[in-house]
Amino acid sequence: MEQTSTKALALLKENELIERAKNRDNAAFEELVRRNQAKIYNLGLKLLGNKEDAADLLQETFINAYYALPKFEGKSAFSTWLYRIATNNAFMKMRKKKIPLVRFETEKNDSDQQQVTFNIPDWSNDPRAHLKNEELKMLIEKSVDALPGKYKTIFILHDIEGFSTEEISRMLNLSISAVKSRVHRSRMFLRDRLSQYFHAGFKQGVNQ
Amino acid sequence: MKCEKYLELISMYLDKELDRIFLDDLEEHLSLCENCMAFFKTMKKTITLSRTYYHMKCCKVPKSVSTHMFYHLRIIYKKEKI
Ligand SMILES: [Zn+2]
Repeated sequence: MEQTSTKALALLKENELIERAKNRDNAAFEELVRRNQAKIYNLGLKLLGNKEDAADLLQETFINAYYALPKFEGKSAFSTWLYRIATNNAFMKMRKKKIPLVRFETEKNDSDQQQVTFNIPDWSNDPRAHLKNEELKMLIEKSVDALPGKYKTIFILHDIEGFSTEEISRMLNLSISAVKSRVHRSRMFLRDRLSQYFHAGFKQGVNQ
Repeated sequence: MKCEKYLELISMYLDKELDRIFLDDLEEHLSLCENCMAFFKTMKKTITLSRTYYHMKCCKVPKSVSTHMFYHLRIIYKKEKI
């Protein structure tokens, strides 16, 4: 197929670019890469926590996408399809690094259920609950990183990137109810971590 | 219903995915139960703080990283042609 000029490409709609790229118009493919690379790179930073792995993930994802593109049927949005490739690559990297994918490492499984029978402090208006608080930023990052890989991924896709439970269920081949329950458990875990910070000592008090 | 039962409903409520049949019950419970209300508010805050934090952190792809990727892609195009 004839290659399209770079200037003309910038004006094309995504589905036109996809059609051209499927027919191996590489300039069209590269325009798709340019439009989506920041999303995938930032996803890699969040999921894998460092620039080197994020750069690897970015490259692998678009190489895989290049090979798989002729089979792309447009049943989902192109970006959703890319995220599917990227998350699968991220899971492989996590496995290699022996990051647990589904098991909570430190927390006991029943810790979620214990809380509500006790007094729940409302720290939502605490003056420290603000992103100018460097300690809190570090805590958020550390807590999200402490989630098992698949929970972290689902939390990020759902609560940070804004994908719907249906989209995530298709992306990760999970049932909708599994996605929902993992979103919920991740939030419980994170809320619990933040609560411990805002009310240091509250947990010990409660457990007496 | 015990408070525990409301936790997952609160999560769905935050996503506006809660079935109507549970909605009135939950809203009534929230108006009466301080614990669940605190849970609701702190859960919501946890999500907004995390979302805002990660959105603030979003960055461009470093030029060198992007260039490196395109370099590899171009090797692949050539391989495919052969
Ligand atoms: Zn309650």
